[in-house]
Amino acid sequence: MKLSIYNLQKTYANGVKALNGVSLEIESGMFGLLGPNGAGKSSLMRTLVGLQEADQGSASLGEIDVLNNKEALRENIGYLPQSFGLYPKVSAEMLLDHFAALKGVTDRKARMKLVNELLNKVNLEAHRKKHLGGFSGGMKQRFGIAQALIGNPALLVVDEPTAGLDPAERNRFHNVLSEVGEQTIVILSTHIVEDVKDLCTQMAILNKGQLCLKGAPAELVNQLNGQVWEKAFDKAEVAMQRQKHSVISERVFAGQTLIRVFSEHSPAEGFEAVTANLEDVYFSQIGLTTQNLAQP
Amino acid sequence: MKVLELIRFELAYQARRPVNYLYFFALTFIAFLFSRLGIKGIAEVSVQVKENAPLIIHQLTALLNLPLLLIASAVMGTLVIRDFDKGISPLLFTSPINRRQYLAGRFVGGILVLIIISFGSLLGAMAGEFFANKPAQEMLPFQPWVYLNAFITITLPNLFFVSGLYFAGGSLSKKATVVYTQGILLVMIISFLDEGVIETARNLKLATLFDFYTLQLVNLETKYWSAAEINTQNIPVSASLLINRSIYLGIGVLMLVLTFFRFQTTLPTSKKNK
Repeated sequence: MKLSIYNLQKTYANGVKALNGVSLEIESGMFGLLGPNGAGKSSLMRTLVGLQEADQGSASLGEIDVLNNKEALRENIGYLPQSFGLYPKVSAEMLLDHFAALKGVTDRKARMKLVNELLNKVNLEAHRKKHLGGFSGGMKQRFGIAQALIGNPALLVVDEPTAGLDPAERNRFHNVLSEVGEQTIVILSTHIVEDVKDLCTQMAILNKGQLCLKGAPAELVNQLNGQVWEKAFDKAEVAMQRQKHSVISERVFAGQTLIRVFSEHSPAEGFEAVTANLEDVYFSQIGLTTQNLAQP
Repeated sequence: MKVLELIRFELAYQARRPVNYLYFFALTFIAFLFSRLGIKGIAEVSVQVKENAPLIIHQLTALLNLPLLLIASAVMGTLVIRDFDKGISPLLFTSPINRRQYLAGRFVGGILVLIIISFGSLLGAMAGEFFANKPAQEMLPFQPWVYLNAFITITLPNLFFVSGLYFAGGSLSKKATVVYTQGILLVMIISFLDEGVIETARNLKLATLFDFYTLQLVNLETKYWSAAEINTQNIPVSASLLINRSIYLGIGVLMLVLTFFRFQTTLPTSKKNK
């Protein structure tokens, strides 16, 4: 099955253009959607799962018209939203059983078996009887992925899934996702470059509602190789360097600021050619706006 | 099947809420108390009328509808709001249920819970009769069907009406304040109808068609009954009573239709998403 998105547009009532003509073709496997906060990732995800209407454009999942046939769409998707809540006084087992029944697993025994398997898969089997109100953020997230996996959906949309997870939980989450991604279209929306690097065979970068780049992470990195240069500067010189070069990223190292620059040739004396990585690809596309805001 | 699952889950969910038991027992207690003490004193009837005459039981049932009005707002108005407040609506609205199934499941589940709670008024009133604070000669033999008749005639249609109203208010506004304001306004409007409109109406028969509690309607129809008739005869199922009940049931249905057409399973953007 293939997900085809064509010219999706969405402008909110406050005038923010969340999606500005996004077109994409996504095949089975893990697809990473990278972008800074406010890039339009969640808007795209919510439109694809039918929680939001697009102003213009079209999308299809196989034969299903995603924007106009929501009932058929919902039979074929799993969704883990960026933020969601659960009924606090209900056990994990009971709520998962309910979702399984809603997703068409009508046979009680089959449903019990499925609930057991899913709780096991997300490592929650020991907490099956526990009320969801007592779950930590990571446990809640794992429950979220368990409900999204019910019914082997053709399209699994996970929006910022690893935010707030500790490293062990993040690894476990990655393992579950990569296992699913073997037969399913998995769209992983994130602003964490490492998640995409570790998991995805294809990716795209979204910024300000527009698609900037699409391809296989390794290929995109290869395209940058030989064009990324690095040099350490004192803090006082950094501003000037930004004006002189196409700065991809900056980071503080041993009291100095290491600047990575995009250039086909050596940009200046003292710059060393370095191996490009996915962060370089990402930052070279979205500019330094976000990073500058994050730094003191 | 999916509606049945939604109803099943709703019942299981509501069974875990201690407040529902509180509503049930409070209502049972109030009903028991009124029934035990007797309300004949506030009903304008002859002294020969027995404490548990059908007309008095009708009036007691109507009286017990008032606390139910408030309980209904808490149960029915918050069914859909809950899903938004808890943040589970994105998971529900992306599962393969359509809005009709979702709303039907919530409404039927909720109103079943409300009906179970309202049984408290029925049971309490019946139980109160056995502990009545009156001499035996002032009582008729226990007639459970009289209580049941009043419950079916007054309480059930009224519950459906207010449930439709609160469910629509909660589902379409997604704000608890709207539901509680509805509750207060409804009590005020019903009181105004009762005391300001019906009592002063020139055409009393016409005005009582809108009598929420059906008290004045029944009073009008039993106005010339002797004490013996009041003691022995059931409340007449007249055309006026049927029209009255149909009006309230009809408004309830209209509210549900409105909700089914207007409710959206798309979600407003959360604050996190710019």
